[in-house]
Amino acid sequence: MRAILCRLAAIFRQRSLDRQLEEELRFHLDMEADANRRRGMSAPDARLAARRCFGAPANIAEIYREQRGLPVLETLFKDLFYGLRTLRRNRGFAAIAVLSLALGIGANTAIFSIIEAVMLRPLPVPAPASLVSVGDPGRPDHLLSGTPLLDIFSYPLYVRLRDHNTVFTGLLASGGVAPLEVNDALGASEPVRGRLVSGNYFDVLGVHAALGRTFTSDDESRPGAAPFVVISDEYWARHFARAGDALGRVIRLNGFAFTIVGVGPRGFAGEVTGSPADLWIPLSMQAQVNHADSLLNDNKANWLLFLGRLKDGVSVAAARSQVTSLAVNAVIELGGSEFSANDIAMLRRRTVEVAPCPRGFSSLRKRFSQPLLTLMIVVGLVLLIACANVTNLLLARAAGRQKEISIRLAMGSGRRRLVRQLLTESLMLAALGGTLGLILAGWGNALLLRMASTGKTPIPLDVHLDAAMLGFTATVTIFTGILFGLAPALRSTQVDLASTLKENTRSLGSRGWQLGKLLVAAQVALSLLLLVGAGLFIRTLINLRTLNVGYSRTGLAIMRVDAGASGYTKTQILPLARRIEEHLSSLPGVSGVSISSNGIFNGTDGMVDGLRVEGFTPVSHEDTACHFDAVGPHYFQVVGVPVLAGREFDERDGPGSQLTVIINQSMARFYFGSSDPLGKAIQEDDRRYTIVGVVGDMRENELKGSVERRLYWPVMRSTAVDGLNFEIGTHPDASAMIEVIRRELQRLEPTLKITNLKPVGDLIDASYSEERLIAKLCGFFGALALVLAATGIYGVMSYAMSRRTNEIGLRLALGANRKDVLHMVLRETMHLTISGIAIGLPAALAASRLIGASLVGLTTNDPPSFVIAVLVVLLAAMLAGFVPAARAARIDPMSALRQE
Amino acid sequence: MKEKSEVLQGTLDLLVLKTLDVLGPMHGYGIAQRIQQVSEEILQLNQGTLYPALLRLEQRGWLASDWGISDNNRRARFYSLTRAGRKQLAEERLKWKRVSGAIERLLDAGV
Repeated sequence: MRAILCRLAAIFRQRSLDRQLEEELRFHLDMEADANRRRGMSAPDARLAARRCFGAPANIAEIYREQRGLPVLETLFKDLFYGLRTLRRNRGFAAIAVLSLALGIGANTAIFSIIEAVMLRPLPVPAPASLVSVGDPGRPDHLLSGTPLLDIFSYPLYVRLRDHNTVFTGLLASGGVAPLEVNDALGASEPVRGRLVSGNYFDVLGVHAALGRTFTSDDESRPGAAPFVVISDEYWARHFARAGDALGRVIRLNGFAFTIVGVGPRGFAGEVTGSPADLWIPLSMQAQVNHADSLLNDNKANWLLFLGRLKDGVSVAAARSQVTSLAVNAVIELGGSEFSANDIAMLRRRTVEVAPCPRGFSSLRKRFSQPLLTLMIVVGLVLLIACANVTNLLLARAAGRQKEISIRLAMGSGRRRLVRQLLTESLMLAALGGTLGLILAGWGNALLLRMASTGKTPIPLDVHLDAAMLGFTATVTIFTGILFGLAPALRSTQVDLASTLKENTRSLGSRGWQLGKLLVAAQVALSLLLLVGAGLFIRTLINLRTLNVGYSRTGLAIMRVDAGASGYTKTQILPLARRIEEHLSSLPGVSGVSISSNGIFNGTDGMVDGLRVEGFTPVSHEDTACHFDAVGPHYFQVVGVPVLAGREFDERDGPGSQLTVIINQSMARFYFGSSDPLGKAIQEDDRRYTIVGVVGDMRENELKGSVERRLYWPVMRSTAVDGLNFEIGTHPDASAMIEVIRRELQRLEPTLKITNLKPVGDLIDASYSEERLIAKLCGFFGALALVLAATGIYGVMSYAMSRRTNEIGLRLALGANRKDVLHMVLRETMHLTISGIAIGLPAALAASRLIGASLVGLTTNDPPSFVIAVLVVLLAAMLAGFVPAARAARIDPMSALRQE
Repeated sequence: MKEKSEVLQGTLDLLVLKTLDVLGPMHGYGIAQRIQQVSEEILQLNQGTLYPALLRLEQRGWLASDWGISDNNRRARFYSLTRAGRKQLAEERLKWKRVSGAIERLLDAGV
């Protein structure tokens, strides 16, 4: 330690220490020489003898200096300064190298930071590793009034699990809130993100209030009477400027008054990654904020997610088995007589998923994991291509510095020292590229999030410069620096001294040249791979855009009206709907209006099971299930779906009428094959429905996969409904009609609260945002890879031509045609490119199989994608090779020959 | 970092420490002379290598150095043993005796 300090100090006192050393050595030599003279030598002999006995003072001084300072540090500084000087002298080279590295590193950092935020970062709570999810953590905002046979996460189940398990120190429940707004005194409202949480929510997470209090079991146990809210630190800062008097304030949420009782700690935004909560509301207030029936006693409402904290020493498997048996028993007990023996047997076979959940719930993780990993590979390849480019530039530059390096080697510098210096230069380039890349990554992130988001506001994902991101960038930077710098450094210091020094031409051993060609071929191969991938994803996107959904994508708008939120009772909704239908239908540009309970591509759907279909014997439970919707009169005519047989619903199907049902084509084919379904019966519980119509398949929520079996009931048969979706047929384009419709509705029903009035086309587009994101980005990175590869080809061919100026001059002098020269150079470029394609094609074929699952309407060896990619690569290579070829053809034979 | 006097290093340190212990403060030339005289020219010291060794010992805190005036009235750098250096000398000496004793026994064993 002391020695290191001495050495460090010595670095800063070099000059004076050098003088002292020189004096000390001179003293020694003089003394020795004097002694020799006294022994009778002549003065020059005495001096020489002293020298001989001492060794070379310069050498000693060098060893002494190494011993004195910290040579590693000193040479590093020297190399850095030297590197900076050489880079400044080669600005063009440095700019190209730094820019391509910055693009590569920036892209990697951007994608990584999103992966980190979505897939890797643990929740900011104590001991996140002991948190486990109960249920599917990918559905944090799920609400399904369905069947407890398939989906079971109701409040009654939560209470039983919480109270009877022995594997958790605590189990919390949370659920999403339907659109939530804060209303101010002036009547304006602002959307906020809230979450309904159990009383022990904060305790289980181990999070304490920064101000005031969090919730207790008392808040949970008073349905409708715990109008309290805990706000997030971020919301506190945004709306109250962190003022202490925020506590006790009353805010109106969806029209209901809540009192702020606490503020969460800084940095805590809830347990759902990608959806930071502004505020938390007790579960007991669900009916109030949602303006809906209370779900607290409803064992069929699947609306919660559970998060437990494992007791020490309890394994996930043990928790899973206990939770499963508790949950299944609870579901059976809660269901009572509802279940048949068959149902109970099925329930007994179920497992409730319990999995480690240190990173919280997230729907983003499920949706974007695959695209993000694909993109990570893509940007990794782009970085490799960029590295190959810089390697090539360095190789070409090393050729120019061959003489300098040879001289240095001849004068006795160690090869290791030279390699170290060249590597320092590479690392400097990498560091510059990395720094610039970090800046690019910042922009890239914002861009990525905006591209991945469906609405106007980007996904509120917390992506910021943190240690993980910096560490990643630094690692990538150092790795790339060594990756692209090592080969040129080793190669250029491995020279045959005598021949290089004798030769006058700028030459690099033929092996260096081969390496350059190999790198360019690899670049071509990699960019072909990326372009094929981009082609596949872009064609998938085109297919999604043009896929037949069963109705017109452009001439349809949809909106939702909820009874409670608008101040209507449930029985008032259907008459209201009739009024709206009549009024809107009379508008020019509106072709028709109908209603349904689930809507199209707005995220709601319904499933029914236990159907008994006349003439059909089910094999599994799944065979008795299908999707359903309840629709109004002339629904299919308005939406634009053909009625294939029978009729659609109309005024005949009102309350008290015969029980009728309409099925879609897929359902007709599944249950009835080629026979006629009209007039056949479908029985659900004790109700027997007669099929009165068959309609064409329409896609209602999902563009991928096959269309689901679906049946339709008339919505008019019920008298009370919570809310309705309105389907509005427009002519020509729905987006042009949105504002007109909104204005008319406001005139007709000033108190009406409309949510999600949107063209259905927009909703469909939003459903494939992952595919759009990945297609756009792969296209962009494919293009970037192509540009980098073209630069590589250009560089290598230019360099090759500069080496062959003599030869080409000779050819021209001997009568070769300029066109021949042009062709010769282009032919070489083509050879290089085609060998790259030959490597890239099989690789692309193999890789495309890995993304097969993400493709829509394509085979993995989709010919257009491959053909276009190959053509684009060939074209780019031609363009890149043309400039050096034309330059070669313009060579003046006389001056070229004299140049020798 | 290359140590070109690797083989001699351990012994050279011991010799320098011992010399300074006997002579008191002394310059590099004097140390070299003394080692050669006492060893009756058997230990052929490459005198140049003495200086990196002196520096190393000083960095470890076993020697201190100061500029002074030599016998023939010239400015010279004088090295002297520190307290830590004296302790180190005792240790090195013990170690040397152990090692050389062991080697001797091995050679005498006459296997």
